[in-house]
Amino acid sequence: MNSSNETTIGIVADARRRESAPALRSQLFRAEREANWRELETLLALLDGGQSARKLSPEALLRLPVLYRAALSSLSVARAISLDANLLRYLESLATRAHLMLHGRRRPPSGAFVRYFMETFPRSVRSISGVVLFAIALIAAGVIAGYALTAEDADHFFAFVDEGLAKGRTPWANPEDLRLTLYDSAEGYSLEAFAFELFVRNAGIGLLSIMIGVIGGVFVALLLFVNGAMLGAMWAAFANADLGLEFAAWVLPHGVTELLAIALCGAAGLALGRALLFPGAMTRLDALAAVGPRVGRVALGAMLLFAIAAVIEGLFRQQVQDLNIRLLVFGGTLVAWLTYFIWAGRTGGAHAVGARR
Amino acid sequence: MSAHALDAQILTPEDVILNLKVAPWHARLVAFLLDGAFMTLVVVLLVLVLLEFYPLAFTDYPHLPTQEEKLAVTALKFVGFMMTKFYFIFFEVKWSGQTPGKRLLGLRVTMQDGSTLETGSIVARNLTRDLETIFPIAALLSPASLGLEGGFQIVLFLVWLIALSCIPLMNSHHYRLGDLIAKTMVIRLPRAELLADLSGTQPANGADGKEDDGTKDHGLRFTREQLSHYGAEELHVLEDVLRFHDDDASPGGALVTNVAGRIATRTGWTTANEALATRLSDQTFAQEFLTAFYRAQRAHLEELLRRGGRTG
Repeated sequence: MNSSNETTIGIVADARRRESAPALRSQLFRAEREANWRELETLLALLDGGQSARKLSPEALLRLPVLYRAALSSLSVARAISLDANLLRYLESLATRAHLMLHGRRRPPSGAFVRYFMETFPRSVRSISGVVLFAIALIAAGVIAGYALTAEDADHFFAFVDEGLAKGRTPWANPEDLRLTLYDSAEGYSLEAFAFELFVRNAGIGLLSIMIGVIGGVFVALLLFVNGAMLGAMWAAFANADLGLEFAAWVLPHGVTELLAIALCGAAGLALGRALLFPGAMTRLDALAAVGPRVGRVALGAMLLFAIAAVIEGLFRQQVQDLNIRLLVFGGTLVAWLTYFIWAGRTGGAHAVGARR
Repeated sequence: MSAHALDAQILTPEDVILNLKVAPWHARLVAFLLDGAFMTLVVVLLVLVLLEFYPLAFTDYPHLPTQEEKLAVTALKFVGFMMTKFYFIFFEVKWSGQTPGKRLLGLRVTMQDGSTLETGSIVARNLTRDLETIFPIAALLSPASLGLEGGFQIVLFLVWLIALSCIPLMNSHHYRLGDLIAKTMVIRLPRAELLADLSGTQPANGADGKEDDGTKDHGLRFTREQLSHYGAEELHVLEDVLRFHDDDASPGGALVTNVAGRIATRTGWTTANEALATRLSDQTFAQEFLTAFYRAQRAHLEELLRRGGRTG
């Protein structure tokens, strides 16, 4: 059936191999490397199955990157020479899985948590320092406006403060009653419960203001201003009863941390809103993506600030009644946060100078 | 092999392009619903445990709540808050871009450019989750809970919220708002199995014991002329038929005999081998024929590929 002048294709004789041995180039290629692929597959299956990398033998861990690079090179070669679709699919999947395992996510090294708070978080805050300062300024403007307007005419008070929130603490309240609200220890209230509740409420507001930033930064700005105005109006109500300093000493020890956290969340929201509204030379999506991870890091840190504020508010405030100590804590936290956000994680800091010799 | 519309390509540090499969939106929705169900389940369990110890915890108290009761309820609120707000962040950080729901469906978060997934990006992509899920539902069911008043305000806000949560349906990579902010995407983890080479690496070592040497050498040879009719695409279709559809039926009988008949006619093999061609209606022989043809065709095309020729 095959006349002699017909070219027979398909069997390329290879003298060194037995008749049953592979003869196609793609077959030789596969025969040479299949063991490596299978080994990588086994390792990946172990790691995928929730086996932590620590439980693998050191040899296996060392083999992983070697096998990964071998699989990548196999994939490149297979793309060039092989027409076996299943083989190509397999190598593509194997290389992808190995890539994700090795490059997809670095397991946070030990000390990642500390480094986050000593370097990453303050740096991320500084990287959006413009909006952070703007957010703080908005809150401050709110406080001033709320204070000034309420001091001028007490009727303005309820324009800023919700009646339920005021709980009788109004410009018309009896000064002695107002004083009591600043100094009574939490009338049979569980302090831990109070701290939990404060955290949940404040962190919720913080997350909300970041989300609102995506809808449009204007609302965040409004939220910050209104929050500030509420505080200012309250302050005016207490100042009206000659309790201005006492109120400050009551609200500011935790207030510094809490307001800062709110400002950070607001700034995060504003940064997102700004990227959407004023992307500059970038496309809106690029601008959004450029600021995204920084916003994420700031948000995470702000949550910790809320937790610290809640602990101070829930535990400390109710138990320490002394005005001077309260003011001292206020000053202390203020200086501590300023120092932290301005200098922490700077390579040019004092200790880093020493490190550079 | 043209790039599928749902492929996302990334460049590895080793300069190899990998083709990732973007997760379809319905798989992501199911994963999200599963995660939501897990969360709800845990919260419900916590509430049940709480009610077991403090049956009056959530009622209008006939008495003033004790410290203990207050602590228990607020602790539950706290746990609930942490669970719902940090569930996704926690698992995606811990499980390298997977949550229980994503793991069940074989999905995973990666960066759009294939770089390392950082914690900041994970947090960023989850910041807007409530906005995309709970808010539209809340706005639909109870606008007052979002502080919305008046029909016009509600409609405006609702349209905006629903538009935001429909973003994944409106782009080819199914990015949701959080993905756009964090430059992440969700892919389907590839799970391909390496099957035996169809071109037969072990024809004589007993794997196919029932075939003796006689059947193997029916003279199923193909000339260069006969192999010039098909390209790589057709070869892959044939591979598919041989691997997964060898038992399928087609309108004219078994699929393999049908395909074998067509190939034999088209390539002109039938006219060159009339004696053997009569046996093509036999399923076993048709399969042998196709396997031999596949091997010859692949060898031919790979040879062309090696010489820099076209295989399409």
